[in-house]
Amino acid sequence: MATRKQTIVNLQKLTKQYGQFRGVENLTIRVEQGSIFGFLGPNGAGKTTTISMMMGLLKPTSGKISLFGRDNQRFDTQNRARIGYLAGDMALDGSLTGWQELEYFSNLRGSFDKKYIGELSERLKCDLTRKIKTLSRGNQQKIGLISALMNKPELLILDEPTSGLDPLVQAEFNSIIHEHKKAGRTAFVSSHVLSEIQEICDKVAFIKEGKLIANMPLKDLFRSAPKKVQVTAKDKILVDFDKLPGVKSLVQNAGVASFTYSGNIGQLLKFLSGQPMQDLTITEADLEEVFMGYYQKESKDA
Amino acid sequence: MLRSITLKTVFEKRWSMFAWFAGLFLTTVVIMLLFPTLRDTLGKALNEVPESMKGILGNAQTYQRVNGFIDIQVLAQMVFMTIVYGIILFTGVIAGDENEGTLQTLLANPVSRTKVYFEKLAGASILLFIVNSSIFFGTWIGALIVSESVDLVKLATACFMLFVVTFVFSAIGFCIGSVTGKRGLAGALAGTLAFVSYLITNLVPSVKILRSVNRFSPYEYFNKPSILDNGVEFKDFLILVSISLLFVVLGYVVFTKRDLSHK
Repeated sequence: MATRKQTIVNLQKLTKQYGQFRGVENLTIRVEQGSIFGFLGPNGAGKTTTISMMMGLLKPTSGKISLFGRDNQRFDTQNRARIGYLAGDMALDGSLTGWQELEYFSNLRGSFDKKYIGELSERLKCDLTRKIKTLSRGNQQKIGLISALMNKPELLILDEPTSGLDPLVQAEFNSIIHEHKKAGRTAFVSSHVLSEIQEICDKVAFIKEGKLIANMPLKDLFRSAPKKVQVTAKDKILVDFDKLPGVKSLVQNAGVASFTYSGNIGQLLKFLSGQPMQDLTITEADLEEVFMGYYQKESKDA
Repeated sequence: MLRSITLKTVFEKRWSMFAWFAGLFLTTVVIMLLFPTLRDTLGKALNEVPESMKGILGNAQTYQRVNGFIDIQVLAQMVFMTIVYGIILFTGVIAGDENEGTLQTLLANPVSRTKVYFEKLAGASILLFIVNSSIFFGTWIGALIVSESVDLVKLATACFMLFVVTFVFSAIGFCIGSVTGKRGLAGALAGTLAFVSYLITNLVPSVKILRSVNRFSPYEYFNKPSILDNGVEFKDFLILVSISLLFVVLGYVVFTKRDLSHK
């Protein structure tokens, strides 16, 4: 019998209004222990507002936040002791070196694991001996990441964690997140760079203009996502793909037809069986396309 | 030095503290060196000054005694400098950090806003006290150089009251910064209040209409009458401390409840 996992993050009908301006509206999200949750949306969608409320920096207008099964009172230091947080616009004290900044935060947390910090800095290729103000944005981001990770927190809350990181360091970051998950810990990662979420997340939610427009496991998202199909005929295309339900964005050029297909794959193959084909490619849409599909659908519905 | 928020605050601002300490110390010593010359020249010239200006510039008798000279040329002038330092410092530790985004980073750690508020206040107070002590040392050294004797206990008391009145305006800046999260606004309002208070108290002997508002001016409770001659008025000390506490508590109540701004 499978054991029920603890809900680490539970946002219920969370709403934030800034006077007359929208922050977020009626967000309901649950994140279970040991999962990596991707929180996606364009700039200004409400991702940082949501995270700031989880961290107690902003007070919700209505709704409830529960972390680790307990109500997240604002300023709840007990919950924050179990969280590693990286803000999207994280600001560090430029007059300190990386080591000094991390030592300071460690002292506030009550433990300074110099060895582990050293390991993280090597993996992320981060020089902790230089003053922070002399470092590039990417290197400052690495210090922010180390500060979030250094206490091996039960919950990581990361707002745009890989912005400014080069691809090699991004790959190392992904592997650190995989290790974090393997150890049974949880992460809540926001981003508008969809490819990085695709790599590390189990479940994703899309937010647009403060409202949640989708929330599902990544594999379901891909299952429901249209496939990209390209048919290359031996001579010229004989069938009219427009007649097949589920075909969209059809482009036919000489002997090549490209389209997206969201129906039953067996039906598509049957439809193509009489076609003298030279080549057939069916690929999964990447998250970017799925994401844009959701956004466009939402815009049309609105 | 990075063991607590208080120590970090002191560590972070140590260079500006040294600079202000050195600047105020040297300025005070130089002012004291002018005493023998001004006693012989300016004292007589002040006989011609209108009564209304004597509140600010002093009168001939004031300049004949070192205590009077210290009151007018050191305490009354240098308090402006210490207030400028105090307002810059106190509006920086919460509102300044919030504007830069480092306050939000700090609060990602398991520290309560109460702890952040009072530890930052403590750090800033330590720095302000050290910088204010430069006036005591400058006056003392200056008096030694010009071979004048000053009652060191009374001088220390006067300099402590200088710290207390500086703390009032610093606490106002701290409060406004903590309430609004806006350093510029906090500095401008606290600075304006300090200037207006200074003007009211010094002009009140000749501008009668100001008498009713003068009781609300914190300057009224600093060095009137001269602490070097008469010792400190405990009631004045209590009034200044009460004003400071009022603003510290007001800032605390709002700071622990309000939203922090995004960077």
